[in-house]
Amino acid sequence: MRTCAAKVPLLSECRISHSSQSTYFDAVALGLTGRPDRLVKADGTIIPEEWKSSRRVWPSHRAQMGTYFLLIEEELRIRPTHGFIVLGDGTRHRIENTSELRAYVLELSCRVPSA
Amino acid sequence: MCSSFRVAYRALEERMKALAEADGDVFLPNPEPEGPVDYVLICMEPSLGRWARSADQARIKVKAGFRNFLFSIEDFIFHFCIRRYLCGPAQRYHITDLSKGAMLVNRADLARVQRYDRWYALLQDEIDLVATSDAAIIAVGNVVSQHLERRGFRRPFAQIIHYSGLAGRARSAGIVGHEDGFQAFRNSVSMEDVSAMAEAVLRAASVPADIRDETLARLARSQLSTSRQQLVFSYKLAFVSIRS
Repeated sequence: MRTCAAKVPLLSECRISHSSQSTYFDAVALGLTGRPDRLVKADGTIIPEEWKSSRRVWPSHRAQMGTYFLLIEEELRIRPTHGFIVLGDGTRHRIENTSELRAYVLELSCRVPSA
Repeated sequence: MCSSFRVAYRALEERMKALAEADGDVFLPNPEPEGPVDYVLICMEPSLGRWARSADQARIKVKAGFRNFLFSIEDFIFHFCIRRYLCGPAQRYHITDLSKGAMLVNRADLARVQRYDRWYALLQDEIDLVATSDAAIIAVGNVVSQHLERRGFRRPFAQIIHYSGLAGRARSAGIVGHEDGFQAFRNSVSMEDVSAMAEAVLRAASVPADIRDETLARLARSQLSTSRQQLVFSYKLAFVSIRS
């Protein structure tokens, strides 16, 4: 898998905004933005949740969660250990924040052309 | 900036490309939605032949920025009708195919059901990603509708006629019972209207300027024939019905 070390920022340039519904992350240095549906503080970490109407967890859901992991780490200086995808039937699926997922998301973000 | 949605969409495209190549075809990306959409329109498969004579030429054009559903006048009539008659001002749409590997039309007829079955999980993933929970799903043509039925597609969906010139009889059939309405309507849309919308669509899809200019120049030589007017009218009727 191709690495993309140049995309990893040394300094935080993030902006973060809160609304009653969710938190919006805008990480300039990463070139990433995102709005997890919910952030939960637990055991000294922050766990992002994403709610989906689908019946199963797809690989694209994992990529989206991986983006949230990067954004939280960049902005809040906390590396989440995991997150949850909550499906339409209410089941919660734990997604681990692995180095493989991190590398995969960084690789994908490198390929995304600027809008 | 790249949203988490775009990262997820790109992850999905990686898997689409891998499956297309495993099938021996050329992955032809769709125009990428900016975010979750209100309407998903599902077509069959991309065709080779007109925009690329060979698989190698297709790969070169895709790498240069060529995208699906942005070539023929029928493609742009489709966009035009979606934007004018289906979507509200703040609504978005996404057009996709059941299978995403570009192939010649005569090959597309071979083992179609089996191919669609191979692509079905990716279609579900795509719809779960790009469609809002209450988005309308629209099957374009009988073949797609029948396949979704056969697979027990879990969302309700509507069906409209296919926009291909090969389905010309469906266009004239679509105005039966609406002849007076068609006569009153037919001159309300011009080729200039379609071309202006085409330019907006191409710009929104971030198609490179050379491809955009070549496409618009080709469209400028096209005519909005009676058959194509019938197509526009048929879509107008269908989309107004779906919206209501």
